[in-house]
Amino acid sequence: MEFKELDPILHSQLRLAVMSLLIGLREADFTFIREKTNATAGNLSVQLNKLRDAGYIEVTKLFRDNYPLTSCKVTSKGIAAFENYVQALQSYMKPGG
Amino acid sequence: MEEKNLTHEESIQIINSMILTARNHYYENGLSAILWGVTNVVCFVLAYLMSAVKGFSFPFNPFFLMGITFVLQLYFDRKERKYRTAKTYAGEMNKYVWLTFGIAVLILTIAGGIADIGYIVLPLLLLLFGMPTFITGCMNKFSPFIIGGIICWLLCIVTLFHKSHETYLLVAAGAVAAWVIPGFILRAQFNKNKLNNGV
Repeated sequence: MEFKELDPILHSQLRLAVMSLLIGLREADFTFIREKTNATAGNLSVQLNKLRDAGYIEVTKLFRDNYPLTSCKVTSKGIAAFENYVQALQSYMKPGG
Repeated sequence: MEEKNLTHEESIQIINSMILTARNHYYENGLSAILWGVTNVVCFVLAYLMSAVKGFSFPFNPFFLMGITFVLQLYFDRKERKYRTAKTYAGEMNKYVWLTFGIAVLILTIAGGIADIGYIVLPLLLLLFGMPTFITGCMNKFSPFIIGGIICWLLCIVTLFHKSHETYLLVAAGAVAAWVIPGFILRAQFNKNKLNNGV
């Protein structure tokens, strides 16, 4: 049986958590993602940039009531990558695989 | 969350846990339900008093109060916006369900009023009240809304067979069951969560 290669962008604890969270949401603010993943602001910011650079998420920066607001949502490329990652993971988990 | 080499089991665990977190995210403070529920109760009780009690008068059509509620709703929406840190697909769907309901009620009451379709408006309103309430309850697994929606439909059946001034009170009862009671339950849950999160 052939093993599929795991996407290195997604095969990271925080980036995978962010993608798994965003895949079930229409969009989420930076504060929400930070709260749910228990990540530090600095680390989260770095990982979000990596996901954005890979084209997996779309990051929108706005100002609301004079406060900066960063909003993220998964792109169609991100959904495809996530689905491939899960399929690859399943190929490793199959009995006898 | 620290960075480390992930095993396949850990990956699956992270995916499951985060998908569950997203699925269970439901931000609702109950204010809209209370606001619209109370407004409907006031409007229909006033309509009952105007039709059933001799000499009772109100300076304007009580249903114009809905306009004030609409403005209040916009104000609270704006105020609450900063706390809505994530948008769910269910929340998006909810929004369109209630928008559809609002348009249907406007068509029924305004066009129905002009066409003078009379009494039948009240059972139809109860039928409409039940729909978005029941759908919202099912989508968010919130049983008070599900029960409220069912009560509205039962009251709709009653009002189809029982035509009297009291029908206005039955519509008000529908609003209590569908929105006022679930609204206060949501509010209590929201305040409890807020307290637990130390906000």
